[in-house]
Amino acid sequence: MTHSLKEDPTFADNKGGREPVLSPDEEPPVSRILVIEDDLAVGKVLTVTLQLAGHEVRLARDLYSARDVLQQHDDFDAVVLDVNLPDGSGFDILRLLRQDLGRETPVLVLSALKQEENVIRALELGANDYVTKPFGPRELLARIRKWTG
Amino acid sequence: MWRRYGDVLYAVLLSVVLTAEAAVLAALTWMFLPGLAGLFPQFDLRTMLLAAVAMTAMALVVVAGFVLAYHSFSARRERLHMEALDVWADRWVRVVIEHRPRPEPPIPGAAVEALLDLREVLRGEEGERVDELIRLYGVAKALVSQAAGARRKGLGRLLPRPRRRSFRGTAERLDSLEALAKARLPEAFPAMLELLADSQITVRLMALRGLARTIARMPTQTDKHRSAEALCDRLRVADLPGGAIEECFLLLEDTAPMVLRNLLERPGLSSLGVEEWAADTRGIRRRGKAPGFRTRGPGSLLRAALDATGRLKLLELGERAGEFVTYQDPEVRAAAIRALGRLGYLPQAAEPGLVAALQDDVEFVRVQAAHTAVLLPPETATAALWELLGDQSWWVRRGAGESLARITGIGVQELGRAAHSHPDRYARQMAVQILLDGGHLDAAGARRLREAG
Repeated sequence: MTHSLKEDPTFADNKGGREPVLSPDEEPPVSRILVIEDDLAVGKVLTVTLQLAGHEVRLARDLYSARDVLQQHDDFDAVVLDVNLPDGSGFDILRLLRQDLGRETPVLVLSALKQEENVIRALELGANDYVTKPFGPRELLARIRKWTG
Repeated sequence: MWRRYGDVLYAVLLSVVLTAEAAVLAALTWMFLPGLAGLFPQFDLRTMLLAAVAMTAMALVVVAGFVLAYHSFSARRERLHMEALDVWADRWVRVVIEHRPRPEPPIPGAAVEALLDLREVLRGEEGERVDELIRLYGVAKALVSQAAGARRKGLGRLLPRPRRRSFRGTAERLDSLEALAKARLPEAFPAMLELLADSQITVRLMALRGLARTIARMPTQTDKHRSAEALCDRLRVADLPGGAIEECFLLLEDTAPMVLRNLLERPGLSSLGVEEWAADTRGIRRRGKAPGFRTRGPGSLLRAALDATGRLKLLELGERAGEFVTYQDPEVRAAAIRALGRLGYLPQAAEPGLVAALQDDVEFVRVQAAHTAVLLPPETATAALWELLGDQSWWVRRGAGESLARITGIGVQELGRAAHSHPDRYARQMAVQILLDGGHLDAAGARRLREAG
């Protein structure tokens, strides 16, 4: 499922709004990013943040659809991956990417699991970075930029 | 069937249907009783049988129809709610990240829920902006009032729509406390603290969770310190099971050491007996809502604090944890020994206590002591564990065997000796099993030793 930015009439008059934290002016080269996240709020934050930064975002809400997307498309520049998905573990996606599909796509794990063993497991399975929730959107963006160039 | 709403209608419907069914069956039974059938001259047996069958069929149709209609209605309602949440999440994200204008108050329940969900996932400047919005719309005030059980007017619009009509009383208060835990607003802290004295255990538990999560996000160290102090002062009135309190300690995140140190170093806490504790706590709660209650005593609180100390590997609290190895309550003794085992640290002062615990009257204390005995000097540990291999409890024997296997060098050697020559038959068997499990013995060797007796 791909999310597109829609104009909302309620936002028409921008009263008292400050400048957006992420300005579209600071445009990096467009990257295609797959976000695998079941949480509604996190999915929205990631989608809006990445789109504002000029990236093209595709959102998968469960393991099944993520597998499907990854098997059909090999042109993602980065993957943002949640560990706790409704139908399984995000670590299975890491295994699929690195071992079964043999791809080197940068993977940033975004998880509420803060324990050291989870971080180690993710890195051992081939994750490039590990960020814990709650997170700062700008920090996350900086980390993604590091991997997408 | 889990129902979020429609409880009353479902109960009334079932009562009517079952009463009608029972009445017909009762009449039928009466008619079948010999000599009594004549009391109903106006109905014959055939009519009553038909009525009973028709009533049963109707009852089944009505109940099945209600259940199907309920599920269909619930699914639709849930879908609409999720759609509303989706719209509001999108809107809030744009307000927070893009700085688009915020919606005019009042906002609907789905908007509050989406805003609180966003608070859970954002930190930094964006997290603070969500905090500002929560304050701006008066969410905290409304939730605090509702959590306290106030009969209110107009606050319902701040709650998620599907819950508004159905959850009343306790459920509504619990929802509010859950929302407050998500919001983590320092200004809600005093009100939640008061709820630790509530008469309902579920409210106390949810209040404690909310307090723990709020302290974890307090803006300054001073705020955290003050809040931790206040929480420790009032924690005893919560009178919750150890496991529930421990969970809350883990929710404290980096504030946990502060709270645990405060609790474990309170002289009053460790020296009070159950009766003194109960009297003292009743005094505190008399000012609250429930003057009379049965207390668990200080044991559950201490046990939770010690277990959390071990789980969080707070080595700096090791010395203090060691002082509880000889505590009067066996649950606390076991928790202290378990904590030391998890820390991998045995203070010198706690050594005699641990050695004594190996011979404790209570089985689960001996089990913990057997597992932690590896921290004793090797000679002391080996001698004590050799004895414990012959304990009457399988769990103690197993713990002793596993600990012996972990003592580098002499441990496995001692197990081998026990497998051959321990005076207790069960000790020999356990030693063989541990050696086999650890790969120190092959199956044939184990069989030979077992056959040798």
